[in-house]
Amino acid sequence: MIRRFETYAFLPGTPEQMRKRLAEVLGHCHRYIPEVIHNAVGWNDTDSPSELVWEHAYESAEAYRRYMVHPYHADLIDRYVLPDAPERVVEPITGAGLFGYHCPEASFVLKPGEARRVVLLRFEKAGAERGRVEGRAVAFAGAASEAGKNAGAIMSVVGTNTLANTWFDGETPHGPPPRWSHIWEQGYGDLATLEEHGSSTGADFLHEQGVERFIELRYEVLEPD
Amino acid sequence: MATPGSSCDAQAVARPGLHLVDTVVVEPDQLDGYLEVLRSQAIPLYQGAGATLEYLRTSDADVGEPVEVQLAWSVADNARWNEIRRTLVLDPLYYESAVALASLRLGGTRRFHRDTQIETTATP
Repeated sequence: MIRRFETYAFLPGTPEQMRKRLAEVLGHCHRYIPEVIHNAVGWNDTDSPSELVWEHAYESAEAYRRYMVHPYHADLIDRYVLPDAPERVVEPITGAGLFGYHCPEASFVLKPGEARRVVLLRFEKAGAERGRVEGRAVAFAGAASEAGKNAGAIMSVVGTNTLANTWFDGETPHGPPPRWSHIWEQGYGDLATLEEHGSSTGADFLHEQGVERFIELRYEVLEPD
Repeated sequence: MATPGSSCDAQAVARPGLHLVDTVVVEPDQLDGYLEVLRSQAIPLYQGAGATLEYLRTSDADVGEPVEVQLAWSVADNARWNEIRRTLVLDPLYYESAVALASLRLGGTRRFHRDTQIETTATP
């Protein structure tokens, strides 16, 4: 299974109506592309440049590739996000961009109204030996799950950011290693609970666990329909 | 450079399949600049990525209203467009071209058209 995120920062002056329009286009994606599953959007509540978060998944790389060539992708989604599209409403570079991970099952699922915290992580400086980085990530996943549970989290998943540089077909890497090596997803019952307890696994916790750098997104998972 | 109000047909050919049609509006005094960015940056990028130029057309620039510029590309299908799109987004010049075009236009649309067949009966 492929877990995938895209985040967007809007161009200055983008009207509210157009912000909502992009969220609607992304949130309705699964109606037209059945391969897009666990589809939802959310408005980021942190000071990261990313404003709109689109979260979804695919059963396989084959399913992902069908999404990539679907007319809805080219006609509707790219209409608002591709750099040279006349109706583009988002910054082409700013924000966390595209990231995700491969996983055996959909243990990340939350219901609409629940809240998600996504933390993009870097454990070592660029060029660090991969086995060492993965070792740190495994240790982190255990500590993060335990700490999250104690803080009221209802789910915790850590994945290697395998999708940032395999975005074309879900399998073949291209370009340099991604800026963020790992992704940590947490779920809470609602945004208020996340805001109240999320800080217990915030910067101090992350640095204690050997995280060198991170950025964080927090949002309520919205009903796509 | 193309002359406003005429078409740029150099190497232009209509092919069956998927047609990417950008229709934008520019102020008359920005038209030459817009066409120059298309000529020197955007069109070579798209051609280099594998798209086929169908046409470049403009409305009249001397009738006291913004000028419409329509640029159409053809590609075989959505799978081919996906490959072209990948080539474009991995090229830093694509972003430079996009910023330059955006700074010169008032607005516009991009639509993907598909060939459609209907039977017609000639009337005497």
